[in-house]
Amino acid sequence: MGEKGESSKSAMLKHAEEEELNTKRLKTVEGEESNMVEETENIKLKTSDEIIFEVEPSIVKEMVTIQTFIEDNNNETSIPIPLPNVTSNTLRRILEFKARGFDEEFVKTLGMDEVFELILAANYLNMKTLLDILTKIIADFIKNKSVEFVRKFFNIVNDFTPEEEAKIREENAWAFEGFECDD
Amino acid sequence: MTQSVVVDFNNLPEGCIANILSFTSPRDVCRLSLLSSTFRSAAQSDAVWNKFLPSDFHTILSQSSSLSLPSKKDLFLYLCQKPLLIDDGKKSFQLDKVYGKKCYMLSARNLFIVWGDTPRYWRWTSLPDARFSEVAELRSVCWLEIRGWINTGMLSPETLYGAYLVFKPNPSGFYGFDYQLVEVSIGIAGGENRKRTVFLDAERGRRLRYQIVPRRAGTGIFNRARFLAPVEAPPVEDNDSLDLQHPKERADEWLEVELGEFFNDGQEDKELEMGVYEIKSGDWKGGLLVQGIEIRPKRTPIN
Repeated sequence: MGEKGESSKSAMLKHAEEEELNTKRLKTVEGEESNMVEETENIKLKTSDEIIFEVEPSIVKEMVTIQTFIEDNNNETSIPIPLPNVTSNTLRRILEFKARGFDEEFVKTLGMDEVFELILAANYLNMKTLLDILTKIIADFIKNKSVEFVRKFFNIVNDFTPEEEAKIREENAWAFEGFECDD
Repeated sequence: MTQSVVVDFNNLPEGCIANILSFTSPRDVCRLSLLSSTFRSAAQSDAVWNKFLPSDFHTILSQSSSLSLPSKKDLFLYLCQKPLLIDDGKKSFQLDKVYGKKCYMLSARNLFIVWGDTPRYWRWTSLPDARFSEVAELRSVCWLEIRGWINTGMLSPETLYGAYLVFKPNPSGFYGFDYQLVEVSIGIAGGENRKRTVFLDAERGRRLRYQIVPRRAGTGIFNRARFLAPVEAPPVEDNDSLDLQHPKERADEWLEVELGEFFNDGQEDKELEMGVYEIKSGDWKGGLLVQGIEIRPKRTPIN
């Protein structure tokens, strides 16, 4: 009896210590977001190239697709969640980006290919903040550029016939008038 | 980010493309609809044009006769093309095509015109080329004072606005303005006002623009000035100042002169006051037709 009492007491103590440790870890990562998390376990995500990442629950909360998936599965977090559309490189970038507080300047150092992969991943994972930043960066890049420039740069296939093109140009004539692009 | 991309933009879902487009501008969206059928489809979507329309367009439209247009793009372009009469025909509303910012014109009836109700000084008539049912006709005053107000909550946030008096000379009886400096101002009511001086005589501007302006009055056309107006305005240095100080012709063939500019940060709602005054000289002047005061976004600020 006494032993059981002792062992359960120490088990409780150990659990309490662990919980405190986990909360502290989360606090150091999240800074001010110290009040939210009940779960202490990291979420396991498996990328398309079969690599498993352990991610803090607070970060996963921003991945609305995953968060919804977890909630729909009774908060079952022990098995790795598959991300068939996200490679390990991309997920690593996302976590890096997040750790830098979504610093726009960091994104500008990446190649266009990576930015695209990030957009596709952010779209799939439904990460609004990340998606907004990436979207704005691409938008800034294509603003005030000629159609030819954007088409060539992004390799966009023109699937219009010359007649269709002429018609669209005419419909939007005002947008071409006096237009000086900064290609 | 200078090399060509291997990843195919065509792979982006249309929703993503629409999202990207919504952060550009109405013009960019229309041009880039040429890229591909996916781009065109994204460019036509309501999701994109909803972002360019002012957030309160429903309220604004409800003040006018009901409009039903098939798409948000159509609505946007419609609001850019023609001014819409709102507030019982006292104001007009329009969108600026470049970024969808709101523009207004306060009709003369919506302004405070000192002596405006005294037929000896001011009359009210209708002109076919005016957008409002009435314009104010200045017959003759020595005290010229016109003021207008607009709540900044009606304007687009984070925008530099310019205010302009929209008027024209009455073909018969325009007088007293050729050497008359008129004071104009803009600012928050009860707060700091930015004041400038202008001339309402477009002819004077034209004369000065095409002649070499001597540093001192006393030669050529300025001989007359010495006898008619002992106080001449300081000699104008360059074309930019000339432009700011004199009326310009508008696309609708009226004239406008800038009263000043105001940056709307979109924080608290305040009353913006604009004014035109000539109350110091005591000289009589007349022959103006005033349509109203227009408030619209400016591209570049006055220095």
